[in-house]
Amino acid sequence: MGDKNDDNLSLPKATVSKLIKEILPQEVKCSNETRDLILECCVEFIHLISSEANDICGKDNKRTIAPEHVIKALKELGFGDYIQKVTEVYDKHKLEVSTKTKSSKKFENLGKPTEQLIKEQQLLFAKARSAYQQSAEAQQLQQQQQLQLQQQGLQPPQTNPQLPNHSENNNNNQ
Amino acid sequence: LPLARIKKIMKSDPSVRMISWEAPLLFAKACEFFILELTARSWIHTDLSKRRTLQRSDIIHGVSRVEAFDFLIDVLPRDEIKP
Repeated sequence: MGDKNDDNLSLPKATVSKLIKEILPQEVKCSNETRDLILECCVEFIHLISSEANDICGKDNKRTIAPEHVIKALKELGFGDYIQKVTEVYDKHKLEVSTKTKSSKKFENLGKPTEQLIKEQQLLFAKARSAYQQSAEAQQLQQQQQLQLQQQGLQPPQTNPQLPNHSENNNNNQ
Repeated sequence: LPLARIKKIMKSDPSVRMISWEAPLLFAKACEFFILELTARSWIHTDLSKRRTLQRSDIIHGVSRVEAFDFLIDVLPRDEIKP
């Protein structure tokens, strides 16, 4: 990836160019040199606000720079105009994030602890296994009956009470 | 603007310890507005000079119009100021 040295830490040029183009009239261009200068100014802006927010955070006896520290820093340093627009975006993002976490928590709060879910799963597996075994046994039984029938075929025909069972077994196997 | 990059820039200050996840988001938006304002103010000078390309001297003039931008004095090249 690109430079990760603290001294060379910067912002993506393409993004900054895009922002510049957004505000300028179509026929006005911005040279790369000028764009780079704007970029440097922006990095310096981050340093400034960050440092101020950090001070405010410290005075607040907190260790983590929170949104309110950033907002206060903007105000203190003369960027109060940005605050309303910045908080609008932040509130919108918070709403989106809380909607996402709510929908994922829907599944977590069905009321069953994991242990119970595992037990239920094991029960289901056991049921499935026994159902499979029963059908396997039923198949074996069917084969035996068929063999018997074949053997009986060599003998005089008799009413075979097993014939209805034979068709029933067929249905079961399907 | 990429939040991870903003966070790294913030952390390049050794006195900065922990940053809430929301902070880089606020910074990203604030930076956007900063770039837009700086560009717009610079363009005023470009337009007055009847040019169609934003130059570094325009940025310097744009900065000089706003008191809040005084912190940029050290970043700007001083020898490029054109009347």
